[in-house]
Amino acid sequence: MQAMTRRSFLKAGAATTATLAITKNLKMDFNVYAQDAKSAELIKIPSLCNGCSTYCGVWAYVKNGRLWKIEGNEVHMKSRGHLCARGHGIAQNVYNPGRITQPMKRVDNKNNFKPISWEEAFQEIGEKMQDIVEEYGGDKMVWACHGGKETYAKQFMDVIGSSTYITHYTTCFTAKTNIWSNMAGGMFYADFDNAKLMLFVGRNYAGGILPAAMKRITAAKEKGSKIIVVDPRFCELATIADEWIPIRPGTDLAFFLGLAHTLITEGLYNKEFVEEYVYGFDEFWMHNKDFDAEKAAAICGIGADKIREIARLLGENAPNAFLEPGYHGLAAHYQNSNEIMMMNVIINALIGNFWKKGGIFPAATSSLGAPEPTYYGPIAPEGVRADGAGVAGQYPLVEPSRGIPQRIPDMIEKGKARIVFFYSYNPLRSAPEPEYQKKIKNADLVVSIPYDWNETSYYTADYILPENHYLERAESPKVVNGHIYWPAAQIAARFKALQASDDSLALLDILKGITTAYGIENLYGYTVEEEMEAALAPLGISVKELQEKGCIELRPTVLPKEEGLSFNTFTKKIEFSIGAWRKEGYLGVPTWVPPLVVPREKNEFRLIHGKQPWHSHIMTTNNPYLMAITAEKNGTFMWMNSSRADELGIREGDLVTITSDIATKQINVHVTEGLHPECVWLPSTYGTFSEKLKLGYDKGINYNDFIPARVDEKTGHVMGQECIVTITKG
Amino acid sequence: MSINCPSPQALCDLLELFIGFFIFPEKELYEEINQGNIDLLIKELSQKAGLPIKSEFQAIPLNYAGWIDSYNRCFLGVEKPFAPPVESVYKVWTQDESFQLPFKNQKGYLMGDSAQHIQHILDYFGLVVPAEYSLMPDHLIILLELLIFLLDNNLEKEAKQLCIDHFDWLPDLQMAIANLATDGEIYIYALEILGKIIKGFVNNPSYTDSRSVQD
Repeated sequence: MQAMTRRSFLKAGAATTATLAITKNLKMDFNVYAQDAKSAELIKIPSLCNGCSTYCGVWAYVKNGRLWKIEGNEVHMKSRGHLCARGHGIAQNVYNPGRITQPMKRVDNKNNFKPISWEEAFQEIGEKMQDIVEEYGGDKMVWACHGGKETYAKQFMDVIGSSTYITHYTTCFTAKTNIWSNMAGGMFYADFDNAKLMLFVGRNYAGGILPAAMKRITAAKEKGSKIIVVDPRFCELATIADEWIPIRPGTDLAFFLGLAHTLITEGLYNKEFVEEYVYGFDEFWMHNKDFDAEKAAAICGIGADKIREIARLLGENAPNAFLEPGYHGLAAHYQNSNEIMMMNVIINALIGNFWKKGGIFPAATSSLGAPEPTYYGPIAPEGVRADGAGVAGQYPLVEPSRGIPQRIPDMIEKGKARIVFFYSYNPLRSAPEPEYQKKIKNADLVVSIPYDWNETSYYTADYILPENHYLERAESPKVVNGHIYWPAAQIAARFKALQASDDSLALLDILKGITTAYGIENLYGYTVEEEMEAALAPLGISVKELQEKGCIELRPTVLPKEEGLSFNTFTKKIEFSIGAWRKEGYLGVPTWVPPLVVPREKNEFRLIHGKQPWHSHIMTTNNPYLMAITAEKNGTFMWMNSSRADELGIREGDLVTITSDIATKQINVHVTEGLHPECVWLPSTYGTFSEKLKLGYDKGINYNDFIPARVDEKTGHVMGQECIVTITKG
Repeated sequence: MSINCPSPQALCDLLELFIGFFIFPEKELYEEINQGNIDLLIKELSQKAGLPIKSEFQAIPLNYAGWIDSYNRCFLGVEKPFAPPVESVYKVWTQDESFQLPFKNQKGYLMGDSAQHIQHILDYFGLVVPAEYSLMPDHLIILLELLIFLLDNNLEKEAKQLCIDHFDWLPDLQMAIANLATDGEIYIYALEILGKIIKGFVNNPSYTDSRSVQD
């Protein structure tokens, strides 16, 4: 037999033949090399953390091309020199061998894959896309992503005629952004530094950590600010609060209606502000004048006197007080989430705290430039959205910019989606009903662009194209704002900090490869460096300056003001009654809407969930350091109220069976007085079922296992806490 | 060719053959194994290389689909844990105590000192690792290719140094595969034979240098 054909993985560079002579520059002996490497220079490169959607500013200290240390950027408004545990963990993930290191192609129905080259992957995907688009049209392509950070896919979609760009937000906070946009013209953020009273309802800044926010909240408390936390769970933020008020989950709307009623009937609200800046007050009051504190108390379980006390505190401290605008829990997970968000706007408006010190402010912002277009070829007509978001007769009120990700299998089954891309998004674990989500596999072509072997890639993708680690790439600059009040916008960017092959691929490179193979020439005819220059040009900032400083603060543009307020709504006022809702035949103002489900039996509970301070929902469960914290703290345990546990004979650490209409799982229990008796609480992180995520696999359970993939008709959210489970010991 | 006059080309061909065991299983190689041709080829090449070795790959019960399963589960991580054939994973990440990372003294991570050293050697010779292996310049197949490159270019002293420094972890990989809950016999056996070849090469004075590898 002849020797088999020589494979060649190493490619000879231009200098190869000339350098075969051995010189002293070659340190062939490992020990000599390792000793010499210790004296290498330490350099400091800025980036933006990828541990959650906050994107804190970081400094990566690098030695010999490897990460030496990571720390928070001292200027960046989200970090202010600090990083949370997940920020450290995610940075170190760069060396985790569990990451996907090369493109993969599915080879059978047993979830086996074959590593292939980038060239092969691009060519095969491009050719398959051509065939599908030719037969069914480009509007059958869906791009589903986490959202908020990628800017390239839409160019591709525009050319082939797809409009279905979908983000994960219906599983996170879509009611909030939709409602605030409709009522106040955009989001507003709390000014912790100057508040005399901070009311947090369903918002846990110490769990879903923003390092700078917690620093400012604790500093404000030290200055005398009062903190009230209303939450079914004694959450991490409650540990520093003056008062923790456990509320019956699903009834926050009643609490808010009771607050509003007290503010109005006791004359505590800011009449001048309402008269000048509010539209629809009378309509709101007409529908809610009977919903007093007593009625609210009977529903939410907080005493009427306590509701009135809090309303009076808001009134007394106004306008240097706020009801924090909220996040995940209340903003996408109850049948009445839309009305809860509406009441959040209304209560803040009643105390007249918009643009007031210690109140709430819009985000300071700025405009960045963009490279000149480089594609002048044909563009297909834009097709209809596959998810129906913003489409008359389907989900007209859902923001098309957010989309409806939880029903992608339906779109596939109905032939509306045939090509599905997932970018940094894992609906099999982060959206409801994983067994239903597995039907995504039925699409003609599924391409996943992840960092690790997430469930969506493992169970559904035909091709997996791994994106490099955030410290291995440069990205176009971002305007830093949002989440918290800060008077000035900031500019920051990711710079390539760590040694990796120049061919190591970021999203821009991946899309260049796919579009070129598909037959679109020069759609992204620029490098990321050119994109950075174009972005910064209007601001007069050079790329070099941004790299040296890491984060640059622009001049303050959002400061307190007493008059001349204008809101980005049709009336230029805060609209208590939403016109778009009225147009679709709904009542424009919020009224009491009961939760969809209610626990009634001795062993029935509402299943709620939330973040742990050291994890980012599902994306950090394969990190060794963060999972070590989980092990130390029994972090996978489900919380249960001690009195209810007693009734069921359940003790700390006991294994219980938890059952909903669609799933049955087992988990250990943490028995605590720090939880409302009507619910059980699960951390949102666990339940990894991708066997390839070896550290997270089979650790704990996930709330998404127990809930169906529902769609709220107005804002598209999933109602993820409208779930009754039965608990039995053993 | 006699044992006393070994053929570096035969050694290169022999090492080349073993690369085939650590990439995605190829049907051609599978069929050659089943027909006994690989054992014959190893015997022939190893004799020519001056490192006579007898192998029995044909005796390993193997079907092609099972081999693909095994590759996925051993090297891509279908089951937990898995055993990537990457040197850094089996060695302490760095000897540089100044690093401020908690895992600096631990095993189990990519791009350790060994990867940096291999990258240094590759850079010196102007060799480029494909993008797919950019995070793993010390992947076993890259190490084997580099070894072949050195032998092809009559750099036998450097080749032996490479073997001493960068092939000493093969027993750890063997053990890692053996500890997996999957059938990795083909890989365990391939590593055993490869280890013998490497050891034989380093200890064979006919290949320029006389330093030896310790067991």
